[in-house]
Amino acid sequence: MHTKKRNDLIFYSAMLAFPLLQFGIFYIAVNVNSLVMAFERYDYTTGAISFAGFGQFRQAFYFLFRSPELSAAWKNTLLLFVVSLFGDGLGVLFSYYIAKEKPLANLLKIGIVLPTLLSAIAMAVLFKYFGERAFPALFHTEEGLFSGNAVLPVLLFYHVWMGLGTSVLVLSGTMSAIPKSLSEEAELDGCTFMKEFFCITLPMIYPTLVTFLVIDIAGIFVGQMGLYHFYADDADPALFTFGYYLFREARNATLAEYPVLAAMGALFTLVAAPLALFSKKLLLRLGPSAD
Amino acid sequence: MKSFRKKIKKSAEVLPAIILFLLMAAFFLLVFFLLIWGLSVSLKSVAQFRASPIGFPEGEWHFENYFNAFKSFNVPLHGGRVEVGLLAQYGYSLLYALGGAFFATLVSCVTAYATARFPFRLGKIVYAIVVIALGLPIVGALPSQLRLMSLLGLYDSFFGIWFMQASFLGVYFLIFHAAFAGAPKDISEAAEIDGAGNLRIFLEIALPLSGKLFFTVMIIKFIGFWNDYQTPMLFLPSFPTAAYGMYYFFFDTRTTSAWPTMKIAGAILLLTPVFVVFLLFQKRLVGDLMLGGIKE
Repeated sequence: MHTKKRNDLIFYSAMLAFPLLQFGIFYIAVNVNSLVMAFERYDYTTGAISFAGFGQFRQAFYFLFRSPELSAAWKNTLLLFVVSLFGDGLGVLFSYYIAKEKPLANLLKIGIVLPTLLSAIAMAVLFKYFGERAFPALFHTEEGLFSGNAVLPVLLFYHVWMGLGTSVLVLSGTMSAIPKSLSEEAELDGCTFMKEFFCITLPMIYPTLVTFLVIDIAGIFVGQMGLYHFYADDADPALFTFGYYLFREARNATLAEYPVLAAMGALFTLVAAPLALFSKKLLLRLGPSAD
Repeated sequence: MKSFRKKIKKSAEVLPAIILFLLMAAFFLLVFFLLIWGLSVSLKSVAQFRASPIGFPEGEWHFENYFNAFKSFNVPLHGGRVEVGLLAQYGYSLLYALGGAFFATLVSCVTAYATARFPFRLGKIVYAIVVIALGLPIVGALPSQLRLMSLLGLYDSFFGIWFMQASFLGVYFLIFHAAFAGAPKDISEAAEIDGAGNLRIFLEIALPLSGKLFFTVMIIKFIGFWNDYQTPMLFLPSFPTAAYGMYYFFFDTRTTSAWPTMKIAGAILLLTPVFVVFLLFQKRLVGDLMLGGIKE
């Protein structure tokens, strides 16, 4: 028995050695290094790195609250988050339709999942030209979808559309695992389609739903709204989200500019991390009962 | 009165389902309409496209757009001294996506197996790390990641990017974990009595039993990596993948490549391999994946 436990431990350690090493480098070290960088200053002429105190944070604050380039980013980031929640809601309802095996459910599922699996940049090319050239011809309008006030709603719609597949893929699978007997009993008791959804399905899948919501909250400052696909580095600042801004800056930054970006990232983490953890606790506590 | 109530009840049953059906049908039609529209445009000349952006070309079909897109789908490297063509980009995409998908899936699977099947405390910690990391955002770590990759000599190499992608963090760990924790233990216990070691049990029993799941996750990851242009753009600049090539081609302003018909033909060239993979493995890809549990 003792030998078995020792053999198990050796095998177990061997199995976990690489994953934990990878985690140590690409999660722990990267994030600790990011935090350290936020306190550094890089001298471009000498290549020397020195301690900058909270200097980078002051600069990050200035960018976040004073820079005209980022004046719309707060509103757009928040809007993107709200729209993502709406997209999740839509995904839940579509998944329910699929899990209940309603007419053409499997065919419709393919149509919902397909855009998620296809190349985002190639789909963006098609969608942009369609919006700019085909849409005006089809609906006899002067303006296309990518001009004037239409752009932001169109980008938000595109974001929801492209993201639907992931939630439908996972949620319809989770819903299918709910015992059929529950639904049959509910039907015998006279439960309607939507009553069954609210009284049985939603409470049963609530833990998975919370995971989705928490991922949305956690990604609040990361979402790019597809801006990089459509505009590369040249999006209109009126459309900026912080996710887009951080990615664009990181791509084009010099070594001297890394620390202020790291400081900005640390500030965002400081807001998003407790928010995500608190929301998870709250959502699980307030969740419906499956009884 | 009774029949009126019945009617109300019937419509309460049917109406939400009809609304959902119509919404889903709209999304379904939109994606296929967009793809067919793209296909029609890719066969038009610029003049035909300007005259009529909707519908298949009247008159001649311009298949040469594909040939021209294929020829122009180049990414310049080293200040334009070297040009990487589409075939090489497909090769880099295949290397990046196959290697990345294989290692990422294997690491998730191995970690999930070890933590689900052995009762050591570290397993619980690893599980908690995954759950916490899913909901704990670390924002703006890209500069740090770039610097660390350079420091470790992993920047701009396939080995480096595979290593970076070979993480157990993420939802697929949870999916594998649920599968291993829920699998019956009697077969592995019988094998153990017959003298099979841990490695043999894993390779000959656990892996084949989770083979379908492994394959599904790997295909999904493969497609994700195939389509990803942002990671190779940042971490693999000397090996432009086809998705990065598409990004470059889309924003390329050289005269011929700037024609919308050619850009759309380029997009179709990039979409086709994934579309074929999707058709081949459609049942598996849109099959049922479970993230967490359901309430008992």
